Amino acid sequence: MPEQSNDYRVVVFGAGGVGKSSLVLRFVKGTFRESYIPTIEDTYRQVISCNKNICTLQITDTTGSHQFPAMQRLSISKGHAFILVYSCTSRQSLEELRPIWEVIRETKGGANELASIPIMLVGNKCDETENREVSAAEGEAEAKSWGCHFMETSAKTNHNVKELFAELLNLEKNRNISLQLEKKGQLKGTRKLKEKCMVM
Amino acid sequence: MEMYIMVSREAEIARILVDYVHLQKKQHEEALCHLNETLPELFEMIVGNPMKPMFGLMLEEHLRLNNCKIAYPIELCTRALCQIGMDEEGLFRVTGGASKVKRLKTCLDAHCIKFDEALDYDAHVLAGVLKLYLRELPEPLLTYALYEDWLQAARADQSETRLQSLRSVVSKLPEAQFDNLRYLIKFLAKLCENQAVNKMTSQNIAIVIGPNILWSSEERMSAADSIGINMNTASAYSVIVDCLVTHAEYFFPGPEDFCVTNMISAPASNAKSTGDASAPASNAKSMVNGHSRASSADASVIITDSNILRSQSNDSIQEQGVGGGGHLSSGGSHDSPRPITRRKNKPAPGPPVQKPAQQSPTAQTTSNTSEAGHSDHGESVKSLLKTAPSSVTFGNESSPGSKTYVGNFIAHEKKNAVGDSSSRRLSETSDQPVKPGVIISSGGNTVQSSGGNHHIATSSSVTNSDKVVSGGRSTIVDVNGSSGSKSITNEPTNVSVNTPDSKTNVGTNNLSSKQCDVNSVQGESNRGSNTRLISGGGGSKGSNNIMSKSVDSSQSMAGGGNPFDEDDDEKEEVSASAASSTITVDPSTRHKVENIYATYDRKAGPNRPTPAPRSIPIYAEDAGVGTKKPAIPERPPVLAPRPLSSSFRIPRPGNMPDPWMIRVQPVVPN
Repeated sequence: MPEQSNDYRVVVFGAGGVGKSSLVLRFVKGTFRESYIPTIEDTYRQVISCNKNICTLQITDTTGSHQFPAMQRLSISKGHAFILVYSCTSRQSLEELRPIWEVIRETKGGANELASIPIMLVGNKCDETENREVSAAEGEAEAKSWGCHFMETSAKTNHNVKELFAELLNLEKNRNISLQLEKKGQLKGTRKLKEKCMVM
Repeated sequence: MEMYIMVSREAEIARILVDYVHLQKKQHEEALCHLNETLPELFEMIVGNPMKPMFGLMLEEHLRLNNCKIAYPIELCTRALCQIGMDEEGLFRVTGGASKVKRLKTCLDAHCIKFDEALDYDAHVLAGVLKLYLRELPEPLLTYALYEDWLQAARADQSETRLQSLRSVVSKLPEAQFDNLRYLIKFLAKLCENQAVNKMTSQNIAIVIGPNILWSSEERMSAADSIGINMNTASAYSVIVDCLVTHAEYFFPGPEDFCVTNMISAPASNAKSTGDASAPASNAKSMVNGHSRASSADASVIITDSNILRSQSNDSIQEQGVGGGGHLSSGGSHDSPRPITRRKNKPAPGPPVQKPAQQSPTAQTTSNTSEAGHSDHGESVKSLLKTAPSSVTFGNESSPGSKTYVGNFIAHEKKNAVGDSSSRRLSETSDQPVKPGVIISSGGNTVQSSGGNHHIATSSSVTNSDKVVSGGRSTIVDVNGSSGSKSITNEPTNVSVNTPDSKTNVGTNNLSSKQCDVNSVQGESNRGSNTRLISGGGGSKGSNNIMSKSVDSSQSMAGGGNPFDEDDDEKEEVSASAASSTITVDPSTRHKVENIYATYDRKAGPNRPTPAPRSIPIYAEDAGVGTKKPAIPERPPVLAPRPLSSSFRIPRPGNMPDPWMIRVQPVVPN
């Protein structure tokens, strides 16, 4: 089955071990684990509201440990919005993001189009103050030079996680997306979605 | 009146024109003839050249060329990691700096990395390079042929049967793969023992390593379309690696010595490779530098150093070269501070390669040798070879008495010395009646012709040189076992006739300058390709430079650029630069025209598409989900031990009846 046209796809990139999975899991499931397990690729779904309709928010948690350009490009070409995660405790992880951002820029076309694509630069692990290598100001400056938005988060302390995704969806100007739907109740949303599928 | 005269002579002029065209045709035909002779030799050189980039080269080919059992990148990274990486958290998981990874990769490709230099790199960089090497192998380490067997074995439910079947598959591996797999797995098992510190359990290691050592040909070929297929196999890869690592002792009993080659301890290898006689001579090059202040020495130093100082500008390189030369020269007999570990895996067969019978310290040989070489046309190649070594590497042996030269040296020498240094030398010693006619430099290999006749000397032996000067410090030229027997065929072919000295010199200057440019470019491109003749064949990527330049007496035009491929251009066929200069023939004055094209289409190796994604679970779930409501994939309870990666956890036998299924369970969103 082809992907649903009203899917809204968010792709999370970042070097290995910066906390992509933790961030996504914190958002999706509200949990945090100390485990240390590499991801190959995971996709999570969430029902959200989009243009007053129901649509699926797909969050793709990519791997930081493999450099498979084809996979990366595919994710980028299919993604609508991007979260670039680095760890405040590793300058290296911030530098790793630049090539990814460049691929996004190339894949997504010119400057005008790029500006309309929601991209968040995220400094995770902001709770680890003693190990911090990248200051918030530096991250902010980097984000500015890339023309994207910036936020510091901590999946561990649940700092700014929800805000991150809310902000990301707010950046999407082509649709009116919000996370609010969940409050309305699960069943209803699901049913609507099903109907939609049947129509299609 | 004038006009009428002109018109009346029209036929005459036309005839002259036709003559001219005829001459041109003849010239081109001659050139073609020579090129036809040259091309196979060049090709042969390229095929046998051990200095091919390591990445992307068939494992067997690599082992054969280097005469070793364990692929050099694997060994280098492993050994370095044993020292500095065992406690690194998230080794193989955390990515190393992309630029550093690339740099180290380039160093390996250029064959100029020593073990102790590798220690300067971050552990994650080393791990990244190791993964990269495995990933870029044309065939996965676990081989395509056994792909199905591996998957089949991994699917076994019972842990016992799985182990047994895996073991049988392991035993089916070809020797090269088996050795390297054993080596790798042993290391990973060792790494795993340290998991309390580095957090890399066998499962974690398996997840990050699995897709690097096994993939299907479809995956490699796959573009975006077929990506989704691989989702299920990714976990299978992990299972395989997990089993191998966990039960490393079962699959590969016995201790593993990670120090396979003796190269790493530098001095030993040095002595071995060069042999007793050459041990002191290892710094002969430097000695030469010191003694012969001539351009040749400089040039050679520059060249060799450019290999090492990959990313430095020409100037700095030069400086270093000169400085190093002086320093070394002062301490003529002491061993070079840094051993040559350029090629770790060289079999150390070389010792007797060449014994500098006379250690005549005639370091000033540059001018002499060059003269001799040029005067001696019949043996121009030999002389070149001689001269080259003399000027570059072993000043001692340049003395004409020692004909014991083995081809291997030559290749190396040629690369370094003959090519650039000689041309330079020629240009600088312009007062001498040297008429360099043609310089074909391919890769770093230069064939030089001089004297009244133009020689196109191509040595196929370049391929044989196993070792190249490393650093400014010492030189080891080694015979590669397999291709070692190749004779250096130098075929001086007389192409053309006298050209006025002055003009020739000019031409030479151009050449030398160009080559300097080349040097700088290469230096910048980190390829260190000066000393290396990069293979056209066999999927080697990287810069394949074959430059042909011909000196033009009347005018030298360099047509064609010098394309230096960036190393990241993998697929495109690299065409060597062809700089062709044509001598325009003036009918009245009989100039021989010489035209040389050396355009070398690099044999496009097996096109290696970018590594296929291991898995793309992104939308694969859609199929399963279908009309279900979109849900957050919930981890089944059985997966609790590995909670984070929903689709790629390593199934434990018995726990998951069907680990190959993606589980998407409709879950009530929060």
